[in-house]
Amino acid sequence: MKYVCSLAIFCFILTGCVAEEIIDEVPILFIVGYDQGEDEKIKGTISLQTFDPNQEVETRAFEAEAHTSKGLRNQLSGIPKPISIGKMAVLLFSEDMAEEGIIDILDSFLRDPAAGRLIYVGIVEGSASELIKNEFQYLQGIGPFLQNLIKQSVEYGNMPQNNLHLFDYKYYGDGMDPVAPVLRMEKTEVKITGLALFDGDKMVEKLNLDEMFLFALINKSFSAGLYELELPEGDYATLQKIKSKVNYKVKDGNTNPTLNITVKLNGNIVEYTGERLTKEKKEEIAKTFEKKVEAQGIDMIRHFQELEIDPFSIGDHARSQTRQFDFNKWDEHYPDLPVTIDVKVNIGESGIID
Amino acid sequence: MSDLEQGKRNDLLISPFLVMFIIHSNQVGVGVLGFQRYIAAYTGNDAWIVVIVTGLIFHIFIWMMYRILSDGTFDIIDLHNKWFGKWIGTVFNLALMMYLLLGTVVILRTFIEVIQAWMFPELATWVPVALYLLLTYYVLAGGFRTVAGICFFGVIIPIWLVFTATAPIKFSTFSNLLPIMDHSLKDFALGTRQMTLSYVGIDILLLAYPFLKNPKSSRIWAHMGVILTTLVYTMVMIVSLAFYSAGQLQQSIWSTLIAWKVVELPFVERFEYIGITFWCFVVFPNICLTMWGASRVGKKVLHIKQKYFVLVLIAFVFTVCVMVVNRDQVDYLNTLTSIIGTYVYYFYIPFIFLYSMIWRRVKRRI
Repeated sequence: MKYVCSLAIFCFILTGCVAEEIIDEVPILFIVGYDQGEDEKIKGTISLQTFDPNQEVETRAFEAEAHTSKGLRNQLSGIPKPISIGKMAVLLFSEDMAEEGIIDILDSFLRDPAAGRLIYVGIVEGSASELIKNEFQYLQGIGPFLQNLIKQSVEYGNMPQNNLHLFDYKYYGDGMDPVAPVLRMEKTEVKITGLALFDGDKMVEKLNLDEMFLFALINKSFSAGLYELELPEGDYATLQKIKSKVNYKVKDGNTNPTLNITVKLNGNIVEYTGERLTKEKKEEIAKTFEKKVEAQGIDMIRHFQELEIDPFSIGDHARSQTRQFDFNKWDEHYPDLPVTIDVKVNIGESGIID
Repeated sequence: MSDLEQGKRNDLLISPFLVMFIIHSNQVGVGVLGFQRYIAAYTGNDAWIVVIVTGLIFHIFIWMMYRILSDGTFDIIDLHNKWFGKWIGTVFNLALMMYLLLGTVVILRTFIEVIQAWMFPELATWVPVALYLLLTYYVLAGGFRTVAGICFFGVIIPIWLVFTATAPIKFSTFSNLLPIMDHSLKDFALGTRQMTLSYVGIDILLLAYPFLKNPKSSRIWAHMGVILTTLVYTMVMIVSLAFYSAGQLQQSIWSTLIAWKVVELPFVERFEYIGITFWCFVVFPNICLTMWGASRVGKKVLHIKQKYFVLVLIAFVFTVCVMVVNRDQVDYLNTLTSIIGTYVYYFYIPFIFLYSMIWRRVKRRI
């Protein structure tokens, strides 16, 4: 009897200690877009989805202005609350916002225990708000759509790995700088147009898709998707399943550093516009590819050195290969660090015909 | 002692292999959720070496403890009284009790802070404290065998969590660990001092010793306990060093929990919630063991029935836990425990070890 009584008492006194959140009633947030607002405010646009067991998924976009990301919540007076950000998938920033620096806003998500770290950070050419408001085109909602778009281009395409965790990793780490995908809305379609490069948390440069592919190959060991290669005689060959194995060697990191990058590439030819794909042709294709990666890779690193950014994490490679590494000295050396790239291409299969 | 009494006594004893679980569960607590940055602050990418070195040092402490306890089946309370006389012995014993209670408060309050920061920001502190202490009373009422059983399950049930380390590896850069041994001896020493807090907890052996069947043969299991702890800590440390960049790690209060954010499961978006829930099993044996130890002192020194004295201790722990209200105070408690723990292990245990050696030698001469 004593036990039954105490059990009954506890059933009563231990309920309702915290606010309840019922999954069918909580609106779920998949995407937030940030634009520059008026008076140094930020303009946030969200797309909310409510999952009702009986009805269809309801998606609506809202917009508000405030000084902080969490402050936007107060301004979003028209929306049902509480908002859950546990399934947040994509954060979008307009380009002018990204040029000013985005860590203040990312801080809101890094600090919040409810937010994930696999959120994608994307940069929008134009207005992030417009892109989100175009949501009704997508059956599953713009958030999950963009999440898939970026995820697939990382897994099957040519985009290097990126998410909120890796952005934070490279932002706080020494000798490295973050990257993020660039998106653009063309009429009714959202496209990935390249890769944004950051200096700290400020966007300073963009790579187009072609450069992004090279970036991903050289950045670290990677398996990319398709690549269309132009041959000297005007023919084209398309390579697929390109795997890169990359090795960075930094010598004398503290005193007089030099960098050598070796890239081993493996790929299959899946299309060729010339006549016959002979052995010599294959070798030619390999040589052309080698030269292209070497030349463009060097140009790319030179350009990074001019901008004094380090998206390849060369500084970090130097640190891991130098005892008692000194980042101050490295920063002085970095802009005129001599760099060499050795590329070795191996053509594996070339389909089932010659 | 008659055969009957001996048989009755045997019913109270535990198998030697359980020492492994007692040691391991009392060492691993909330510390492992966020110890990485404190160690990495001194030794950076070499922090995992510090973890292993500190683990080795604790094998020496295990050896010392078994030497201290080697004759008869006395616990440290008896030995204090025997060696230092009643008055000084009592002072030592009460200090030991306060140390154990501090351990209870620190682990309970820090874990509740985790719950409040991660899961339920509105949750009042007293609710989980009350729940935990109620359960603790229930376990302590069952005696030491029940406590040992809780330790066993406190290790076995959450052990699968080690497999979650595979998720952060997908985003890891293992070259972060290079170059190996790139810090000065002083850095390593400071790191080791900092790491001591995470390994603290084997002191429970000083009290549990008389409850072991074949106490002398249990030493190997005590070493196994420390080895298990070392393995877990080393794994967590290596994964954290590879998963975070140096600057990022210094920012992260609960690095282990944050790393769980990248675990992807089809049925749950935020794995941390499952991890924290299972951590209740990890924390609980700690509270039971330290409370049990403190109540033993009460029984033997103050001659109060354990049943009643536990209630006093529960009231005390409850009050202190509720009085701690913010992050800074929790941090202060942890720092305090760290300092006291360092003294206990690097001064007190070697001291009584030497004292016991000398005492025995003198005794033998006489």
